[in-house]
Amino acid sequence: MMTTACSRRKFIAAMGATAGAWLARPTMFLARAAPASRVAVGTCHEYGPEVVGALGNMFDQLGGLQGLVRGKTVAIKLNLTGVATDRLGYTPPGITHWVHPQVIGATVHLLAKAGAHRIRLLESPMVTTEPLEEFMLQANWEPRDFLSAAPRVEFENTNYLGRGKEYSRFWVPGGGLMFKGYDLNHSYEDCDVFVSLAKLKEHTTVGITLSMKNCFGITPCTIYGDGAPEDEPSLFPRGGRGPFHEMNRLPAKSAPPPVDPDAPKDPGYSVPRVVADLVAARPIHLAIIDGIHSMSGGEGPWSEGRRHVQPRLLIAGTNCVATDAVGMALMGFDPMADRGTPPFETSDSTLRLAEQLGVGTRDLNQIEVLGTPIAKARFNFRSV
Amino acid sequence: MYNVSQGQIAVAEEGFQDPYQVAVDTHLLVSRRNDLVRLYNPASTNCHSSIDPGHRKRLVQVLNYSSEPADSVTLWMNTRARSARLWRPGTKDALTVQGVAAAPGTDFGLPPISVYCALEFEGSNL
Repeated sequence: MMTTACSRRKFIAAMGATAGAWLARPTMFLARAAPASRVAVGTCHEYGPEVVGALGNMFDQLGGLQGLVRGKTVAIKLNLTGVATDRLGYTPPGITHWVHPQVIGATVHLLAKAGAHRIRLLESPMVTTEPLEEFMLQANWEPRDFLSAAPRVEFENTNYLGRGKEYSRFWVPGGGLMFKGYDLNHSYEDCDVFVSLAKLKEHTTVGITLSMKNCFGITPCTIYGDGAPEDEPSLFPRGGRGPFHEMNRLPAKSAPPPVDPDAPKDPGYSVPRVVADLVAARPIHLAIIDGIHSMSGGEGPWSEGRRHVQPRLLIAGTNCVATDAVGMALMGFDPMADRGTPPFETSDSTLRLAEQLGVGTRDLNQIEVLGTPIAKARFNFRSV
Repeated sequence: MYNVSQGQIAVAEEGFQDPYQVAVDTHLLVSRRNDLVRLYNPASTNCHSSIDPGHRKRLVQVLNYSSEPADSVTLWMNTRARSARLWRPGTKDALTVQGVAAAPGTDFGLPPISVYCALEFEGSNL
């Protein structure tokens, strides 16, 4: 993907400049020109050894991972939302609202088998600088299981500066919808391939949370959190990402400013735009969604109307918008839906906004679905 | 951090400001891997584990600091146990609570906790 004469930072900047010129074209043309993609759908009944086989088949259907990851450093953003002691009733989080450790282990194993040189597991655990391994242990996970799935596996908590010397800046191609750029933990720059490993869920604020919304959590709360200082990032994350929801305060001044300081203070407006910005600025090369078990009614045990569900699904694709569009369709929603139509009763569509930024298409007519057909695998989240 | 024999000693660079933070940091230095018990959905509860010198009986006491009952609390214990006896104020007999394997230990789903309860475990591998 990169030549040896081009650093990652320069490469990403070049990508941004190219995409910026592209974005100068009319919006309607952009929507039509969004790249078509292939998305693999697999069925898997439980979190057992069969997950490796199911995911392996799906990656093969996509053309194999070797060309993408061989000899590369792969960063995987996990979806471990909330605190480690949260459970939906008595059910462990990997069943309901976190990506399951079996899916993580299977992904790590298959990436290594495809030739990945180094695999880094990333997440920004809520309000803490503790090592990601300790966060996992608190949820009764065993981090050594991931270390044994491949030769070189690392962990990093990305909710603060972490092991980096400075934050990495990601400019949004075309100037951004909410912010011109975002300052993130170095891990999101110091990788060749970026994977979003998400859970198939509804979301109270933005309708659904799939591979794109998972990236909301790449933002460090030392800069974007409720308790971030006015000027410089704090040493420790304080609070959640309330400012992205309410737009009631700005991030630390060291980070790029908002595009429009007078933007609506409506989470249904701001959060989808922040997510679309992030996936445009920090492109996802491989989107994987765990829907073997999940929950309906929201993104975590704190959501109203929540319930454990078992869609028995796995979804994977190399374009995050197309992958999320197929995910939406499998959940019983229309990927072309927008504000006012389920699941976007109170928010704008993240898919539409990302499509407008040129990230990908949400039009199922332009997406080749491989493996189990949508009609056969559909699990209607609002009918359970 | 200083390596001493088979262990390590952590020395604070500054004086301790916050006892809670000291407790949190100490817990992380020792690692959660060595937890004896954990609470899930703890809300306003906290717990204390004690064991008899012969390691044949363990008692985990759970105290709720709120006037609201704590619901859907799971207690995890670091060893395997099929069941536990649950003692609550105002009840003469213990309730038997079945364990669910949660490697390397066992999960116990607790009924709503108003003020206090205690789980008693017996076995040869505690």
